Amino acid sequence: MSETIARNEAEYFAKDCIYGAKPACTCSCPFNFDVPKFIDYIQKGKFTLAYRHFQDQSVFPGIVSNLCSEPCRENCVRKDVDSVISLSMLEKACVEFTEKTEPKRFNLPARNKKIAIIGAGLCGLTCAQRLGAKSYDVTVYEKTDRIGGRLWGLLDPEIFLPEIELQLQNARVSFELNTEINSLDDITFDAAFIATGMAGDDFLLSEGTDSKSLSTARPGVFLGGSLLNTAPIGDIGQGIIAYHSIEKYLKVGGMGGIPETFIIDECRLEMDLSRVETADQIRPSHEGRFTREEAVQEAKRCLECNCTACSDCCEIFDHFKNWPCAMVRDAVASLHTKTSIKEQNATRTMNSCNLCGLCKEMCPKDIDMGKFFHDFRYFKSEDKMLPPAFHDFFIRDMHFSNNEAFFAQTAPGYQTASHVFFPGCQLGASDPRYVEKTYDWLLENISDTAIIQGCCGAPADWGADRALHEETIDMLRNEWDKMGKPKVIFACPTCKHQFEEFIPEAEGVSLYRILDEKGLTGNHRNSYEEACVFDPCSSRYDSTMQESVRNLAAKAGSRLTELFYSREKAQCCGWGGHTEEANPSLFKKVVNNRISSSQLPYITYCTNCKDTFLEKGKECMHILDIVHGLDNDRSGPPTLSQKRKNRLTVKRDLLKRIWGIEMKDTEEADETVSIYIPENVQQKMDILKILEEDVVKTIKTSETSGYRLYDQETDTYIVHLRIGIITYWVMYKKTGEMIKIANVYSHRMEIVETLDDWTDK
Amino acid sequence: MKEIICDKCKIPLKKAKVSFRYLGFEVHADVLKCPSCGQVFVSEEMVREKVRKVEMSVEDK
Repeated sequence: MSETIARNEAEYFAKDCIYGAKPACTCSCPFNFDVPKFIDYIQKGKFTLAYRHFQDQSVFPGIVSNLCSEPCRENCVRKDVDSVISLSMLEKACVEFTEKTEPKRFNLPARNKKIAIIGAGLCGLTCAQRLGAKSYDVTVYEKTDRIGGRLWGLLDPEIFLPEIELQLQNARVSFELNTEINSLDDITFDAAFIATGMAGDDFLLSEGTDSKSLSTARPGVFLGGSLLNTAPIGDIGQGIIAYHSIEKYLKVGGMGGIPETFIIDECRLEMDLSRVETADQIRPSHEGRFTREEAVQEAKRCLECNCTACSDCCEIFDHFKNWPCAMVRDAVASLHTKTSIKEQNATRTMNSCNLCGLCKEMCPKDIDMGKFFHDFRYFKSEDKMLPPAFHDFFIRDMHFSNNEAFFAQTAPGYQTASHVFFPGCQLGASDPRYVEKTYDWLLENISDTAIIQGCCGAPADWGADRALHEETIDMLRNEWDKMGKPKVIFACPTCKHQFEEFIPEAEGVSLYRILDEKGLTGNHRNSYEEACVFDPCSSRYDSTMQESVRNLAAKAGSRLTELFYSREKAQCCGWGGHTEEANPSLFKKVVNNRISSSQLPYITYCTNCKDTFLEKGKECMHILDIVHGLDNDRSGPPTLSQKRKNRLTVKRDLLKRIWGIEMKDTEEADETVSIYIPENVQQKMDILKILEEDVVKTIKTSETSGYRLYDQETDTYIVHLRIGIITYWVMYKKTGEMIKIANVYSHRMEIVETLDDWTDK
Repeated sequence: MKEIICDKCKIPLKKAKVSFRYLGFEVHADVLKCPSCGQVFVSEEMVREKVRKVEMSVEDK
């Protein structure tokens, strides 16, 4: 059994998630330019917004766009596909095409704090602009008679001087030119930034300067720029860090700076480039510069690097617009907010997960959100904070499978068995012939094969009902034990998975492997000429089962095409984890995406996959339809009520035919009322997970007690009954003893009524 | 106007304040109720428009 997450360590579960980590270009940039956001604006042709963003991040866009040596070119992942993005050209385009260049005006009152900046080079000017814009009283001391520092040797002053003037226009900055500071004690300040340039005076503070926060040993004094050997664009990055560190120092007194603003030069992202299509680099046609259209086209080549491995393969992340780290944080927080009135969706999120583990398979960091949500359902259940209605129907169905529909028999004439066939609960529910014909075939081929029809316990596990799950596992282990510990033959990959996890001592084999080894039954039918095998998600790590099914389909004449998400990358059909009740809209989205993955028909080996797809009109067969040559001309899957009857049919038929045992009809008691349910109502009942027996019980209880309403306009009786945790409403017309159902619906809230002796306890 | 009547007491239902409980929360709403025996009627429209929303909101707390 896999190890449960410890509650006190749960918050670190997705700590390695790299969603939102800075991309390679940003990490290469000396001021960590947020390239994806910039690219996003350009892609949309929003050059003014792109400029504003560039201005916010670089302070002097007109200088940076001319000075940038594109260190990002070295690391742009696009170079491994075709050619890198011309970021510098895009920067120039946004400067050229923006409609506004004026820097932000904050309208803040003057702050009573004096800032001394020593050195009017790019680094000092950057820090001065930021602090001055926030209305600090900034004085820049420059020993020469001009501002710009080493820019004079790098750029035409016609470019950088107007830009400095433009960007400083709303900043509270004064200059003291021709003023050399020999000692910091000669000037007064609340905070100071030393940016005196290469070979400039460091006031003996370089040594011991923290390269992250730029703090020196002297309180309130920071140091950066080419004194610390930065490249010209690095001056911008350090000027911005100094601004953040100084502001923090002035507000709260610490010298440690703000870690979120420190430069990150190591890229944690890992990009999967296998599905990236090539796109030629756009050549500038206008005197070496991009036109607007060319800039947009070049921006569209950017991969906007981020890790979306989990959201690419599973809809839950986009549905909640949330990512593993945030989902973990929300789930952990939800454990402590029982009485909070704040709306959160952590509980719904964890119950919307199919628990299939594909995200782990695709995640470069092996983060298994399925495991996380599985364990968190147990935490919520232990804390009595898991809405029972999310899992109620499935747990009731499991109860039915392991009681009324359950049977365990050794083969006639045998007390023990070498093999036992475990069809699970849904195989016979979907079509009794799957179980009956398979068992007949097994008896012919392995004569001492026993059979256990029951549920493997998955619904209790997915619904985090520990006591019920343990009870189910104990019961199954006991039955298996009594038969002499036979090898278990599984038709359902979920059952096989459950046994492997919870009854690992039981050796298992897939039915399809045995069928494949023995050859087709001879009664098989032709398969689809061309089809895809839809691997159930629970077969993910069972390559033998996957291969056997492909072999059987091929032997029956199918030419198979692989889905992108198949084998170890198998996607859940939507049914896993009982997500339908917690999140019907996500369930629908998932199913629609699965059936659209290929236009070809599907062959699968999980009845839940098959019935889910048939319900939505997808052409689909179970591999046993092919193996046993079963006609598949039904328009859709059986209704939920029919599925219950089918399980009883399997039990009744096999017990009688093979062992001569007559089964007591448990439904008999309810047959005294003659009820007709039109097809449209039956369909609605399936959507709402209402069973025929719920309808019958509601009517019978009310008819007996006399508590019912009558709608004179439609000549319809209206009755309701709470069964377990659901209240069922039924509207019906009565002609003699014949009852015709007009409508049904249900809700989870309990009506507080004062009636006695009629609510089902 | 043809109304919904209580078939047990043979009298029309009347609007009354009724409590609903779910997951430890209790809310009140006006629904049709038999003034005599107390049985209530919650229409499908009310279930779809109101009850379902309250259920979702309570489940999301």
